[in-house]
Amino acid sequence: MKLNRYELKADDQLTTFNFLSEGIKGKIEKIVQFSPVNQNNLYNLAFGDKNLLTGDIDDQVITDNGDSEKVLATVVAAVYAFSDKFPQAWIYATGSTTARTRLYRMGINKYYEIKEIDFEIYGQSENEWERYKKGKDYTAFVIQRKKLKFDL
Amino acid sequence: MKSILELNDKKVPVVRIDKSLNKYSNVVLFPEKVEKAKQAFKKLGLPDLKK
Repeated sequence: MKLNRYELKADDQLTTFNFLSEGIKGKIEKIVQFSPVNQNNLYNLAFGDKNLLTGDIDDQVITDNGDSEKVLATVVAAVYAFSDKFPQAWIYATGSTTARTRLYRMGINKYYEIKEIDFEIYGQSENEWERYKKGKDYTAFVIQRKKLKFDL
Repeated sequence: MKSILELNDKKVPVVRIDKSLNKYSNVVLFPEKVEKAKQAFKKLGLPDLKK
């Protein structure tokens, strides 16, 4: 499955990425960041739009640039790049709104067959993590790169 | 030699390092999300990989 996505740039540490969304509203800079949470190997994934006038990053804005699938594919690519460098990392993601969380779920569902090969994927259901079930509603998600197994 | 476009078809993409992004390396751009993550891990711990 070919993922049509934007070119990614990153900082030296591969924790902050950016790309340029190009759609019906023009060019919009997107920032994707993996921030450490207060324990080893726990990271939060978030992304938003950079306001070119103020420099502020907004993760609440509804961009509606007509390229959401390409944006999601690019965020998935950032997850691959980050987890390639930090394979032990647990990556947490939730939306800033219910609609945004639904968008995350759509992204996981769309690329589930690809991601499921490479990642352990869990959803937050009530008060526990459960293995991700395609199509089910979750309030948050957590993933980790699967460990390579070699048969000797 | 593989072209950039071919390499970008791979799951792990080619990522260009842009030093202008280093200004964000130690800045939390989405503090509310990080707080949510903290609370979730505090409450639920980590998933059980055996489940």
